[in-house]
Amino acid sequence: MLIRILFISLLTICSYHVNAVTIEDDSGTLTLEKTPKRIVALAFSFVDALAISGVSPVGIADDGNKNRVIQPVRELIGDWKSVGSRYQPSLEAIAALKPDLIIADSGRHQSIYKDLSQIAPTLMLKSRGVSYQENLLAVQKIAKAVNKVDIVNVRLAKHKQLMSAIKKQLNNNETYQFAIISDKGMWAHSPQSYAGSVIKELGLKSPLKNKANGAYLQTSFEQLLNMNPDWLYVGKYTDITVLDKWQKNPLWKLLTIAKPNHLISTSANIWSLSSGVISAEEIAKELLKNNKK
Amino acid sequence: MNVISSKKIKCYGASLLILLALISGFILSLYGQSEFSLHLDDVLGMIIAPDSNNIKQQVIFSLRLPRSLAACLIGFNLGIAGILMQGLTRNPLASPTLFAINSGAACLMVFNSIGFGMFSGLPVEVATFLGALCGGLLVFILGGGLNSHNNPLRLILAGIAVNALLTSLTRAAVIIADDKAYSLINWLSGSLSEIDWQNWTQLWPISVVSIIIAFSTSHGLNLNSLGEQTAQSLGINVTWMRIRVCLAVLLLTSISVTLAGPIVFIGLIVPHIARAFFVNNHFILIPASGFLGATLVCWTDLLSRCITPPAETPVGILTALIGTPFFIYLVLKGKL
Repeated sequence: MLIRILFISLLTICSYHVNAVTIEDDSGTLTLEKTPKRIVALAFSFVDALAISGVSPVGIADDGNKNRVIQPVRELIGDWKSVGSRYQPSLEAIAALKPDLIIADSGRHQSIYKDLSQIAPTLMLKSRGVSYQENLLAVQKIAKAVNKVDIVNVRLAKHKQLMSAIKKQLNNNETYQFAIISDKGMWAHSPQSYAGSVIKELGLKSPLKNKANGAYLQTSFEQLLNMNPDWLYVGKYTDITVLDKWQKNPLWKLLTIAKPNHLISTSANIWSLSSGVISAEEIAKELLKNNKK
Repeated sequence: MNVISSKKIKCYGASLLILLALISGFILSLYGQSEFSLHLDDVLGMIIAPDSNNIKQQVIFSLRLPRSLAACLIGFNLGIAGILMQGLTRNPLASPTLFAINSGAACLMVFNSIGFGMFSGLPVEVATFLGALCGGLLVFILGGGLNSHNNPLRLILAGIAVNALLTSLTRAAVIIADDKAYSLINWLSGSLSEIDWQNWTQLWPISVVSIIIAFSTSHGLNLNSLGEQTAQSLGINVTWMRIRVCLAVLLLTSISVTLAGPIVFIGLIVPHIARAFFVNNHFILIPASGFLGATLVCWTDLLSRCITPPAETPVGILTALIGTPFFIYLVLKGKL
């Protein structure tokens, strides 16, 4: 009898070790004994990664607004509970969901890492200010954590194929810039930002003359005049923006974007907030729609 | 006799110095630190031979000129607001920053900007005026009302408390707004980068009216410095004077905050510098504080463009960097 119990115990331990995965993350290493089923994602880029892995998170820090998760991602995942804002997610709401994995943003949640780890194993990856290439690495880590490496590899291969197919069709002789605008100003997303790095990945040129100092650059009208992009994609945060004011300035007509359809209003959620594989494809498709060779 | 003439020399010397600093700061800010490599020739060209096809001249005329003019006028407004407050309360610490007028205006401006509650429907100038009024009144009442000069510490504590409250409310609003946060945070640090001719036309009429009101209180403030009762016995309607001073301070501060965000410490520093150089007469102190404020904001705005070009450092951060040591200096010198 004793031998039988010992044997079963040994077998159980072995099976755990077979399933256990170790992932290098921004806080060191994380070992997961079994495949997590109840996952909470504290940034939109992680939701995108889970969506392509075929896993639905039970909780998302969606700032209390489900529409923040972009439509193509929403279509791939089931319903979720909001766990508050990305800056200050509610630890209580996260604990109430009894997660077995939390994916947190090393750019935002370092200060609550210990509290999160007490609730569930926490994978710390970069989301805020992440670039396209950095995000691809993060996606593979998430795939490993949720035990969907094969599915994600197939999906990523498809993604790369799509991106390179679009890259070949794009007009790469001109310069492209994405910016967030509001009534308080304009922030150009440099090639270090997500949208900027997707533009770069697609072989398109940036109008920034000097090497950017940071991902998001506040841009005055004088700087926009100097930058003079051929195409400007803008995500609006307010109905009335500084662009309305700038367009009335006699200098506006000197800009290339003053030509019809060179100033394109787009979704800030897709271009700036989401920072995932699916959003990169959406950005690429939108560029292709407007800027075919 | 010698004392009088040396005082006069100091006064004339300081006036000349301030004017020179203001004019040089203004001209430099028209062409300094630009990606278009602007030069003084372009400024002169704009004046002597305006050419609407010359891009450099156009940049100076339609972007730099309104910004520099606004920097001067906003500095002028804040300087005057500071001297008026110190004159009225007879408290050397009184300033739009300490009285939470800046933070009150900023708080309601943020509520207005993110569409919070009933504030979303208000015109932005009205929202900032209401915020300035609430912040100032609250500090004034908590700080001991009109007897605040008897206990400056109480006023400081009231100022700290109300500023903390309004700053937390603003922060809460910024957290709720989240995605708009970085644009709001930048504005909250005080910035002149978005000012154009349209803003200038908003700024100058209100400023001119408020400055006229401010000048009209000079005599009253002079007598008020001798004490309320003396002022009253000399035929000053103290209540009417207080109303005019408060109205001028609120208008001067709120219009400046609406356009440039809270630029802190100007109202505190400037009157002390003015008093060091000029006689204690509000007929002179009010314009002197105005010109000093204009010079300070003009130069800090220019400096704000030179620290990390092409990015701009918000001008409010620079004024705070200058203002905080000055505040400590005042405390150490036992001026409080």
